[in-house]
Amino acid sequence: VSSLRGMYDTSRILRGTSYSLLGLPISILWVIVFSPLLGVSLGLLVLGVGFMLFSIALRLAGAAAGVERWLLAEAFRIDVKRQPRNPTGTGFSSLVLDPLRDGTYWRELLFVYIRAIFGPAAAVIVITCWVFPITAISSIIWGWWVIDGWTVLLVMLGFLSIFVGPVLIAALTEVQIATAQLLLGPGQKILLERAETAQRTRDLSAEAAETERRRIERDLHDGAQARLATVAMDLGRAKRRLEKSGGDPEIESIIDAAHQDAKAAIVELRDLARGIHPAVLTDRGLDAALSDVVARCAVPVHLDVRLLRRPAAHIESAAYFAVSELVANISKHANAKNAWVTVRSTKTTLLIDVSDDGVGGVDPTIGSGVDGIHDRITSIDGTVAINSPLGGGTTVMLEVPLTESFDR
Amino acid sequence: MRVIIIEDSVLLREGIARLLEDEGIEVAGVAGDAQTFKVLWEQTRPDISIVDVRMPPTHTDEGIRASVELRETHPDAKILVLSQYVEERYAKELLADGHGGVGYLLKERIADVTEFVEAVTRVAAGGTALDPEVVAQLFARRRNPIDALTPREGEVLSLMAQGFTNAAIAEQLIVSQGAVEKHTSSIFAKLMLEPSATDHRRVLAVLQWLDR
Repeated sequence: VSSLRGMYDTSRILRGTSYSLLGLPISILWVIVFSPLLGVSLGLLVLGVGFMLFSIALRLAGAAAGVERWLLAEAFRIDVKRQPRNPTGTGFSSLVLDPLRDGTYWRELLFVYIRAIFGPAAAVIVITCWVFPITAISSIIWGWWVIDGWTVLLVMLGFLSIFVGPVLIAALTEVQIATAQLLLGPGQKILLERAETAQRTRDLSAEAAETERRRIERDLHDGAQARLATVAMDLGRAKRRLEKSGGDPEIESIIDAAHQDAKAAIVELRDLARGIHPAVLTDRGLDAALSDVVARCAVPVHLDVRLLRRPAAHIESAAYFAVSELVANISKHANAKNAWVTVRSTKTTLLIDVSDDGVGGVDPTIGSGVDGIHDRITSIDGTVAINSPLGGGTTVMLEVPLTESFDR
Repeated sequence: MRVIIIEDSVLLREGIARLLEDEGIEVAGVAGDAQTFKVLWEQTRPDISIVDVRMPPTHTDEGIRASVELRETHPDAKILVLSQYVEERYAKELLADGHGGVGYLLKERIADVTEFVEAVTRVAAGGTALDPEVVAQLFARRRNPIDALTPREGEVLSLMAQGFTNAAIAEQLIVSQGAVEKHTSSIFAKLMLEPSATDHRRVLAVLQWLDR
């Protein structure tokens, strides 16, 4: 039904009609502009001046393609992106040679050529689609006195064309749009390059964020953490002296409270630093960092990490925080007796399996508390699979592609 | 007792020195990186070196590597390593030579002066001091949980692994030394370990068993 509705999309058919009708004057315009220019330049090709004229024709085709892109945008709200030009210089030779060397200009010229030839044909087809049903059906009126077999056939064809015509117009529109996108849009290579650039930019910015977090952790370690440790040590000394000299018990209890607070602050600051970036992850990798995580879990966790090599820092970090979150969830919600964390790598993939023998019933849909994990893993192009039958424990499988260039 | 302190943060270095001097322990020298550590050790021949793990130039595990290297040439060097975080492999690397006289504690333990000084004294005397968190990690690492032991025996095993003597364990658990001895022989029987003569041997036996 939806495809039928798509075929008989009135607005689309009207837009297609106007685009195709405009093809007629446009085609005449391109023929007037390009025919003499191309003819002369091809004729003069043996003389060098022909190349110059041809180059001008290519540049004109570029401008014509601009008009065509504008038409597409107006008619169909389609933004056909032009491949960026790569000027090699500003000198006369590059001015002449650039269009000749640039495939984009050639594709644009080809499109203009196709429009000039097939534009009128498209316009004629569209006009026929609109006019034929009217004339064929009304033939019964203007030829009422001879109702013979031909008239009946004509009227039947007229009714049939009411249904066929729109389909034909829609199909013609699609073909024209597809041609335009193929010849006026950026080439496949460019799209791939763009995807690669986007990927690289994302990886680099993830790395930059990672570096920044490491720096903050270092600053904390060298600054506030060290100073706080000194404060706690000095309070410890004061406590010992008071104990030895048998001082004022009131002062003793004040110092003792301060000492306890300082120690608690050290632990809190350490947890904070670990949440920003665990130093052990940078220094010793996933295995060591995760053993620190599981040792602090209330449920006994069996950890097994076997990696071929260390993944890139931002992948390690995302994997670390995802597992931390999963392990925290197990101790908070799973009501489990045992948990297992298994980390493996192949040449191309990092595989993480976190499971428990708890109550299960984790809602695997987005927005159910697994969002954080999902976000972390999808940000590094990974996938998350959750299997959690009610009463049957929970297994979460993470799979992350490893990019060679970023490995260590 | 004479100690040297190898720690790149001046703040912490001075703090530890003040603390030890308060307890009547002589600080024979201080240094801020691994190279100077070896030179300083040769010059001062201290009873014990207190060494930070993370030091210049790479700020990763210089302290551990320098300590292991030093004990290769001088097995009698006693070293207490301080770390910002727990990494059981650091502990294993330190304990690997089996000579005793090593310790591995989290930095934040220094604030508990009594316990810290006790650990320093114990290591200087050839014993072992392992941070409770290291022991907890080693327990977590085991694929088969230690089901055979009673909860009390588990506590005793953990304290044994940290390097405490039976007397110290008895004091911490507030039971008699005889009761601790009963627990330890029961643990050794259940885990099928040879009863060990010294406390350090005992730590090694327990760690090897945990690592199995």
